[in-house]
Amino acid sequence: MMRLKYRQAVYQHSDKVNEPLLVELDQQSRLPPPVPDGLGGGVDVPEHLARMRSPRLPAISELDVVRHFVRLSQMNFGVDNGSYPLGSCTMKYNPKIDDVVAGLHGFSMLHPAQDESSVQGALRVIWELQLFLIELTGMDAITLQPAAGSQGEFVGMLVAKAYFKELGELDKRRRVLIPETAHGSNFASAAMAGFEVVPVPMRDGEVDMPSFRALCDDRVAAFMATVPNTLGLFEQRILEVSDTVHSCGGLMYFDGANMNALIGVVKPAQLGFDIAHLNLHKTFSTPHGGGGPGAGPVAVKKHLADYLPIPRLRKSEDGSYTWDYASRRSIGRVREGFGNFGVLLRAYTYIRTLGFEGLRQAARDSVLVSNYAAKRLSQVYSLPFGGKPRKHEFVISSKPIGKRAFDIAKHILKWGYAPTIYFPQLVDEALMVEFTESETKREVDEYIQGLLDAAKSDLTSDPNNTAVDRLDEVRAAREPKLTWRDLGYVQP
Amino acid sequence: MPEPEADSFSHPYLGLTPNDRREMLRELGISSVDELFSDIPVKSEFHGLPRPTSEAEVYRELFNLSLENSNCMEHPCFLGGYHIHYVPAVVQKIAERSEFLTSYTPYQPEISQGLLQALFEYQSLMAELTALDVVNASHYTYGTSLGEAAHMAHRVTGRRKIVVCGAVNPERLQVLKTYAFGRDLSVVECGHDGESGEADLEGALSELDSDTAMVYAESPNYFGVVEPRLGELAEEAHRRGSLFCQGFDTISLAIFKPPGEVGADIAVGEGVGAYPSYGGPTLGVFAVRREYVRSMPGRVVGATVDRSGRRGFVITLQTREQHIRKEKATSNITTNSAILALQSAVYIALMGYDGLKRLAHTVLSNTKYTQRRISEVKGVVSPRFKGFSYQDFVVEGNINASVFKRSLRSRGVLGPTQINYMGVSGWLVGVNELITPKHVDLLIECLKESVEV
Repeated sequence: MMRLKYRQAVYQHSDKVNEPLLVELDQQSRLPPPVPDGLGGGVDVPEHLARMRSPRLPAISELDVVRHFVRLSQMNFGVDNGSYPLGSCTMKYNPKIDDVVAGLHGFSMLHPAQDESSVQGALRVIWELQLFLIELTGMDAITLQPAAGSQGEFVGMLVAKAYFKELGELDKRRRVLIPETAHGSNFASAAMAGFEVVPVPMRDGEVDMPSFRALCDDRVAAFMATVPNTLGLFEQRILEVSDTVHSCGGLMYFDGANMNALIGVVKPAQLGFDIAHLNLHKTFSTPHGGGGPGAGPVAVKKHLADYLPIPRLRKSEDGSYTWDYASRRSIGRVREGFGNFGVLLRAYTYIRTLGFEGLRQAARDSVLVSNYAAKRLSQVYSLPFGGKPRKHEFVISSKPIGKRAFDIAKHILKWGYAPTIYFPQLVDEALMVEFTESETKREVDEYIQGLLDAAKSDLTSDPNNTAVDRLDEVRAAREPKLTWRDLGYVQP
Repeated sequence: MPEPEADSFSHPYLGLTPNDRREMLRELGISSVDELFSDIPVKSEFHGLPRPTSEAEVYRELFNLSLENSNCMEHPCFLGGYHIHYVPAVVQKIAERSEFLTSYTPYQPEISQGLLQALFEYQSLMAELTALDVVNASHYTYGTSLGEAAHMAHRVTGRRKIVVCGAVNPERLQVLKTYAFGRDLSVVECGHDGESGEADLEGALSELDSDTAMVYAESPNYFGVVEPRLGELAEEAHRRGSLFCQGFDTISLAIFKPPGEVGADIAVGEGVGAYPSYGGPTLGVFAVRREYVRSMPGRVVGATVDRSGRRGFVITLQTREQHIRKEKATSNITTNSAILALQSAVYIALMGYDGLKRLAHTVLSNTKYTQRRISEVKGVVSPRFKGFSYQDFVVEGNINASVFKRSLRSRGVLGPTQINYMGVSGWLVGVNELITPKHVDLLIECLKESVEV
């Protein structure tokens, strides 16, 4: 098998420093770049308003700035460099046409305060995307305002809170039940909305029904589930879970971060969910940008529609679009503007080019690839809760081969691969893998071979092909050095 | 076993061929991928979704759709409350580097040194500008940074009241209230001085009590007025054991007192170096004094060394974060605005301190110029407030709103923004370095047509 060995570009300024910091490139006497002259001549800033101390900002030539950041980019790894099968992250291909469309000046240069009549083209994109996502989730109403999945969760929890407040039940309904197999952000989001978080134990990788039933009473505001869960398993008794939650008056929340497994297969609404968020930067392929931005639309059933954030987009009979700011029962705004429009445009373009058949095929391929890899790897690693089909991702453990997941992860960086490790915390020495539908079989086979070889290799010296080798993370946390001032670059 | 039945759909975005699928099904010993979905109790039907369409067709359609919008580079723009600046070509080109754009959160630091160093530099540059010690590696928006600041102040002080002083951007105020609803905090608004447009300090002080977690003010405020007494406000807040948070405009920090110089504990603002994109994505800046670093929400990058003593960077202090601390985390934030933090760093690196100062002076000069020109129109008060203003200002007068709007539209002028807020009804005019005398001429013609004498 041809395996591409990966070697990252490294610029060695010295033994101790790769690429210098901007502050180390400073040419103190350099004049600033030209900016347009003021129309009204010079205006003095009154002394009592003026800045007293100069900031330590470097002055650098344009070429030096370009080289600095291009070199840094070469010391970075993304989906365009190679497969990035991080579990829970859906690192699929980010089609370039999506970026091109988002960069069209007729979209990128729109000011959020513009009159609706001057942005009808943009509003049409938002409207149609809303319709697509409503159909894919089976819900009745949607907001595209949340800036990320976690903010979507926060919105969903606030919607639940506002709903129970109006019903006069908020005083007793303070609890949100969350399976242990959910994302950590679910717990944090429920807490941010002021709820008490009650973890639901699992059995065989799914909700433990007796413990779950014992927790269901009129103190429950919502049940919040990541579906499929972080072990890559579908909750097979989800309809029973929904019925039980509803019968005690609670709401069902669907964390759609893992929707790539289910898109075009099943609508969360038909599984009994009342609220669902989607991650456009996962399922709908918008680039992760090294951590963001994303978008986390929240779709709800009819009885919750009025609680969604304002403004809401309306379509008039003449086909024009307007924003409706009437607050009624709304939880209010969760950010300025209308959402991460640049991200929404990319997701819209993705849906249009791939089409419904393509979205459904993406789900089918991501699940097929995941089961295929899980089966082959389970010959050496352990696959917890074997025998059940995985969805778009799976978790294996390196415990039976006596190696640390950390060491394996560092080893396979040799080929430019990186799994998610030590998550979920339910599995010892966990390695979490999600290929997505984008990868070819050849790529998947090479990755599998890499992990199988790692089981037999000495791992302690890895990685040795990246810009730095293993970093001292303990030291970083013990004496945090968070700016170049902390490194000793003070006022000249 | 019969030959498996493999899906035949093909698309350039999908990696598997029908043959690959068949081989995988064979390895799994199943006849169709449907078997892998047998654990899902419901299969849904879907309607009204688009068919796969060629890139050429989609591009052409969306290109034409984009032309239906009026953009603020083509048209004179005087919209207030949100600020647009020219983005140098270098910033755009660097942000498009796909090694950055298509990367994930840098949890594997060895292959992510580039982005980690860029974020470390963003933190450093922003710390210098705000004159605070620590900046996190980003929030979604200025307003969500403010919402998180309120939660943080509640966590630090154990108190529940947020006091908002002066004219705060109304959208941001709404965001703050939504976040406050989450943690059951109360938000109390204190007005402004009707003459100067500055925060009503005495009113704010009377609201400070033993349950006040945080005092917030922004400068320049929504009316464009630079707040002169933030230092006193911060001092009074501290005297009562509350935190003081200042909202800021990044570029103006080059000339006005930064949050660190007025004694702010937290500062929130918006990034630079990105086009508005109809208001998102944007970057929420979040800065704190060092003593609060462990209560701070969001990711942060720190410097360390590798095994051979070489400098390197990692995400640090992760035990504050949701993936480890769950419901006890300092925030639920996961995805943030990393690529926009990178853009801010490139922008500030290109401009330098002197470049930012020049730019801020141009904006200031254009503010005064436009104010003066508008004040020459009979029946219009410009600026409405006497406080020192930057970038935005309020105009009042007997302006027929519908005539004015029609007139602006017919001349292709975007803005100003009509406001009716805190008892002030008028027009918020925003300027930047891109306006020209001809733009202002057009605005004035529109005003003249709309003033009712």
